[in-house]
Amino acid sequence: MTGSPQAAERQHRRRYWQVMWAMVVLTVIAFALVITGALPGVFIAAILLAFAAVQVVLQVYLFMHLNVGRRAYGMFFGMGLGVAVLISMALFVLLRY
Amino acid sequence: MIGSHEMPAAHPPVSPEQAKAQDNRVLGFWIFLSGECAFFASLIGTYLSLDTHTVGTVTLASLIDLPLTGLMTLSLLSSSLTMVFAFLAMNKGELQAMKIWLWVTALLGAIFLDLQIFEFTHYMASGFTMGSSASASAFFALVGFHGLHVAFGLFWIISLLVYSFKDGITPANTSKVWIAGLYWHFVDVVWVIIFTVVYLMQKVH
Repeated sequence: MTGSPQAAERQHRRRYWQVMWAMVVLTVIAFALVITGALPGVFIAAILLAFAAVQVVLQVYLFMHLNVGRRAYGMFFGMGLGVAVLISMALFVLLRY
Repeated sequence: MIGSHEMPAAHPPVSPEQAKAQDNRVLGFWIFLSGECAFFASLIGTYLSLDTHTVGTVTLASLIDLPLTGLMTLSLLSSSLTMVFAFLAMNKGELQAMKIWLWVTALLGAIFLDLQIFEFTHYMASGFTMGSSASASAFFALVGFHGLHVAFGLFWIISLLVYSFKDGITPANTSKVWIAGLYWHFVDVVWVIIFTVVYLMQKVH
């Protein structure tokens, strides 16, 4: 907890920059991995998916302020994400095989 | 209350009823966003399963230009940051700074759309069109709908800028910026998934 509103504001601003840089670094690494093909494809694919997951969490949790919002926001959105994963997996399996 | 989860808003809502109405609006928007998750999930699932259904020699993998995708990603990512800055400025009651950040956000969104239109016209000129194969239809449906979302967000932000701040920053319009911000960040989240699953994965062997 910080004292003055100014200090709190500065801290928020710094946090947002950190998130931004984290996302840029993850993106650059992802692109670099794909362009150079430094690792076997399976590993690159796994790393890419993990990076995407981290970016989604950072963005939703900090930029969309789920960390400070009402619990109901996160519950509804989590439900939506759960349904989303089910739908995409179901379609994938149904149409592909 | 909307802005007060994190720091006090410049003008707190005048009545408990108003605070509640604003809160419900945000809750409603989160429910809408969960519906959007399902919408994009259907398109992504369809794309993933039709991925290999190509016709002829023009494939997505041969067309994708990663530096262009990288540039699009960068513009959308930074527009998310500028949206957050607009929100911070709004919370401090700085109307002018908020407006400038919102314009920068809109500009970055417009750059993204412009690059996407360039990309699509290039693809179509190369014979990769909505009707050329199942994989191409799924690609254009997914990425095109995302582009439409960006275009709608652009329209939304600009109309906020033009119509909503004639009386300065008020409790009524802070929640509008908050919700537009949620939408914009969500569109960015979807792009993170699209550039990973569609663009980068095509190039992984």
